[in-house]
Amino acid sequence: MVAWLSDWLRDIIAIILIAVFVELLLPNKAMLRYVRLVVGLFILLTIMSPILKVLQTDLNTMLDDGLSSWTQSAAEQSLNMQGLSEIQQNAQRLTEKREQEAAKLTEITLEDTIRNELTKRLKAPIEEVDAELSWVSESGVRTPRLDKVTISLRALNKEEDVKTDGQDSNSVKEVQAVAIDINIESDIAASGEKDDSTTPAEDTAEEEGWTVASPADEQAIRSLLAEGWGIAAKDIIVRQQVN
Amino acid sequence: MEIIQVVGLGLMSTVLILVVREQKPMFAFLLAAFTGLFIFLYLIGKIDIVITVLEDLANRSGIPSIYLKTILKIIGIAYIAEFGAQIVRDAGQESIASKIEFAGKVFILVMAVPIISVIVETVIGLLPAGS
Repeated sequence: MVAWLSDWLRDIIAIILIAVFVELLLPNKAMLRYVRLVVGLFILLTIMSPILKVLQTDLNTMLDDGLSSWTQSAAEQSLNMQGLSEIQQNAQRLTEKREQEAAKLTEITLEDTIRNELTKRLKAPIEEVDAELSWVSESGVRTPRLDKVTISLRALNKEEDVKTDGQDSNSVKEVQAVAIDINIESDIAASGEKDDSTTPAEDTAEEEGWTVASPADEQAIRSLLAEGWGIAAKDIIVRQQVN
Repeated sequence: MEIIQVVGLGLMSTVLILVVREQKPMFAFLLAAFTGLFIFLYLIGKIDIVITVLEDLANRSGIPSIYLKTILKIIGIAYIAEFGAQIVRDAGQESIASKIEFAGKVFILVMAVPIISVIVETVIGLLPAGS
């Protein structure tokens, strides 16, 4: 009983102290009446708390609900205010995503058309066509740009290679798998060097199962690509599988 | 002796404003506004100490934290409204200043709405149900 009484008194004293502090803190007299009203209500609640406890109404949860619903509505309003920038960010993100998907689709279509065209015209034994797009920003607008085209030809049997070296152009075509790698930017130097240094056939410089295609095929493929899609020769990599 | 700094700043800007006002009233107003802003922000940091004391007090006693939150919100509303109203009043727009103060009062009263509703509900619950 005494403990309960002391608790109650302590609460009342604390809330009155807080009220006095708040009145001191206030900047001007104009607000004083209004603040007094609110703080007075708090003091009233504190004093009434034993009665409320007897009645077993859960005061604090009710108060919490009321205040939190009020602050929640305020928060929702401010959320709407923030929404503008968030919406813009979302729009940005969605745009980027859409652009990326479009680029992917472009790549796939491009690969397909190149492959079809090459098989139809040159009858090249194409293993895989790989086109890479990169984003270039021109005057603030991001536009996709064909970065690299890699054309991989199926591997030849050694014997066939020998034959091709020998004479028949037809057999050569059948035999060789041409891998065309078109590097627009990054790989330019590397591919250029390779083209210069390595001589036909399937000898020397091979990076993990790939070798340089025969110059005739390479030339044909390059000219076709340059003609049909306007791809610079340096961006095209033609490679061949090693047996 | 931070009070000397604040008062010195106030005196300095007052003299400057008096000098400038004849030529450029606009800059005088800006100077007044920014001096007020500076002093306000400087003192906000000090008020923090008082608020910490209040929180400590509330924590030691069993006062629900929602009381203190509401009271602190009220203080904040009062300060912000008062500050804005004074800047506007400096610029000579008395009517707008009084509107700002009015808005502050309304927001403070809106704070009281949940408390009033709780009290009303309890008092109604106190009355005998048979009536």
